[in-house]
Amino acid sequence: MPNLEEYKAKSIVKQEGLNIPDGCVAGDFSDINVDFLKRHKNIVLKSQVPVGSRGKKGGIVVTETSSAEDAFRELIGKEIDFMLPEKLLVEEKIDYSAEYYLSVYSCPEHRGPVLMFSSSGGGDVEEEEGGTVIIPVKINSDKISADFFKKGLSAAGGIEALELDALADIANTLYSVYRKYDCKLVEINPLVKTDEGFIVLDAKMIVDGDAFFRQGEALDLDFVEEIEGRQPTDLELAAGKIDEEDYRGAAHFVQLPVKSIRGQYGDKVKTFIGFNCVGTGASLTVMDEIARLGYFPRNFADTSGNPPASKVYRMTRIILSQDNVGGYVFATCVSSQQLDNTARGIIKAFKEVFSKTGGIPDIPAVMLFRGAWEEEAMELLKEHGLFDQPNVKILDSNYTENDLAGIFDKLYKEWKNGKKL
Amino acid sequence: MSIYIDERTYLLVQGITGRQAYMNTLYMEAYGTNVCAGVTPGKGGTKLKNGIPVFNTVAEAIAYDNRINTSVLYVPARALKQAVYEALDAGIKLLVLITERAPHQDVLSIIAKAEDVGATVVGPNSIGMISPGKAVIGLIGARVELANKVFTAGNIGVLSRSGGQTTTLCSYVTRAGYGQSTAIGIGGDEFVGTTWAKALLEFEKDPDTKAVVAFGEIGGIVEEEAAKLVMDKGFTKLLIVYVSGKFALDGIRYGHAGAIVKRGRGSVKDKEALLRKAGVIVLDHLDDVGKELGQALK
Amino acid sequence: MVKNFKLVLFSGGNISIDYSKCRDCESKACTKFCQSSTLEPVLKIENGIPVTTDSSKIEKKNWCTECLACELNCGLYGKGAIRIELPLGE
Repeated sequence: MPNLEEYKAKSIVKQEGLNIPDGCVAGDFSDINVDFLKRHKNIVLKSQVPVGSRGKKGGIVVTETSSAEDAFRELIGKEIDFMLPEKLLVEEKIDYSAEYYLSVYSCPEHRGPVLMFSSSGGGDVEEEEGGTVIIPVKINSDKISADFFKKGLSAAGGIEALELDALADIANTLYSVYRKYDCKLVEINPLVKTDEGFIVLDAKMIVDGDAFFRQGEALDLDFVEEIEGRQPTDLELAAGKIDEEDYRGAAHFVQLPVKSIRGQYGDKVKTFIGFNCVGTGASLTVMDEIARLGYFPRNFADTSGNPPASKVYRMTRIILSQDNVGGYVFATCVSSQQLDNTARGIIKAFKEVFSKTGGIPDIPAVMLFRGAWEEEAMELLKEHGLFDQPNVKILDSNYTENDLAGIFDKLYKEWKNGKKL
Repeated sequence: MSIYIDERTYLLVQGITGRQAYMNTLYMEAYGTNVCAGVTPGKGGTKLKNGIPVFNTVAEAIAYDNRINTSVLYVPARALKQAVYEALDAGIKLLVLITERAPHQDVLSIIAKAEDVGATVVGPNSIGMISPGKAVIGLIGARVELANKVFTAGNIGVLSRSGGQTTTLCSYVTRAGYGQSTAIGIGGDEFVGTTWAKALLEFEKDPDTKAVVAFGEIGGIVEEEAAKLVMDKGFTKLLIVYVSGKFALDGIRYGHAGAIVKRGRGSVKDKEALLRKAGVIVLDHLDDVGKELGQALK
Repeated sequence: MVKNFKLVLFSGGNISIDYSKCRDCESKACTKFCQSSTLEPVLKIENGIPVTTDSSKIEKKNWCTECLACELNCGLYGKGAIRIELPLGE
């Protein structure tokens, strides 16, 4: 679910006819056009990192143009929430008399797009506040009229008639942007009132990753998992490649933050485990049960659909190559997947990673195979010597997620005691 | 009885010539579903190995067999909206969308159009649904042997946001000695045609459904809407829910597009509290479902 | 002439076979579970060594289902002549 950087979102709303400040993006001060610097006495530098409340965290600097170069160097080298900007947005400073909030987003309650407007923009805006209106839009109407938005906006109260016309036009444009670019959200905050009309001071766009086939090129985006507030890890990028090159089955992999889990759960964390499931629902259920006993997933992974064994192999290799892993859990829902292929993928990965012991892991591992092909999977694990070895327990559909957690707990404790001897 | 599908379901398969759709069609037929015809644009006039005729358009298929009242769609994501519109325009009132990763604005358009014409859309990203012993639509069960093992006819309704856990939940219910009236995988996306609340209204009307068990997840508002429906007395039968993702972290998407806690919203804790307030039984462990059913239905 | 075998895989990577080991192999286990996306398997035994059943399909994108059975069976019952390389990333 890509979050567009401010400068990209702004260039799009400009293209669709809204006013934005005079400005440019620059990775180095020398990239800035000299005429631009001559035109403006005061400018604003904005760090292009995907972080909320950027202003409060020192990501926005207002400076006189004469001292802009030093300010630029300082801001481009400044980490905000552990992220360094690659570029700054450099803009003329705008003087304004009022700040408004305007957005169009896909709303779960209305199961359709809604326009949200608030006469108190700038900071966070809550639906319940005074001066805020929510206008549901019927998505399959061919054209929305500015009059429709005008009527809705007037409910916010306190807006002059002339201003209302201009705002309704902007609302209509924003709705077109939402539709045209397959947005989940397009937001202007703030939209400021100046002597020369309304100007978009900040814009945000969240584009639907599933619409990439018709948007990816237009917006120049890469596919990465949705991870708020941080860049993907190397292993996540490697996992992203698994699906890119092979449409059979779906692989999903996210690394979980060890530090913040330790921070949140403290001594309750016995160890982190490499984790893979078939089916999101099963993954969440297994996580509920094992984390309750102190075994927290190091990652979240799902190999669902009907993936080839090679895909499961790659995922298992990635999972086992993580640091800080003191166990391994694999589990399926009662599944329609061809689990014999799944088992082969896991067996190959184990034989390579734990090559000295013929595939028997040096950490406790529990695997739960349930579904239409569970017997075939069991046979394969037996054949290749991975069935109920020291450190390994293989379970079938007589067992539940809860059973798995109890069995892993027992195995882990035995392993730990044995290791100490 | 059951809801949505039964022995009077006459099915059209849109996108039937894809491998997954074809394999699935064989399974649906073997289970006993009345599969009437298939549609794949450009492949009309042919017949599948099992004799099912393929047409270019939905209208042609209906002209061939006017009993068709339901369609299941396996079409690629980019073609989904148009295929659904075509089926709705041809008058089909129940659609099951197996297709994954459809652009969400297309789905919103589909939902709006279905509401306009009074049709029911299940999915997208649904594993399908089953009324045991009567009919199955979609991938749920996969093999007749597995289906016969985990699904039995009875009077428990089953709802799930997770496709896989629809089957897991049914297997726990069956193991506890209870059968299912209808089990539905509503789809894992943020926006789906049939929410729990919608399906619960149908289960409320079905005289043979005594109770509903449901598998929930972090994110979205499916569970919240259901809790509200129960509070408003729109659903008055026994409802037992498990909400998964108790240790999920804020801001991380867990597999399904809809499975994400956003800035504290959509957490298991909040969902459970609201469900409990409405008088819904909330499970601590999914495999407690049989025990709870036994106690509540005594 | 003994010639080493190589098949490029759809998902990236390849299957290679060291034919020098195959001559002494009695199991020929590599073909035991071999499956393709068509009716014929990918591998068959010809003159004592595994070869593709249909060279015209080698270019077909997902002909080999990448089930990994040939390598696992060769390792267990044969001479360890098959190596499936499945690179990560890149």
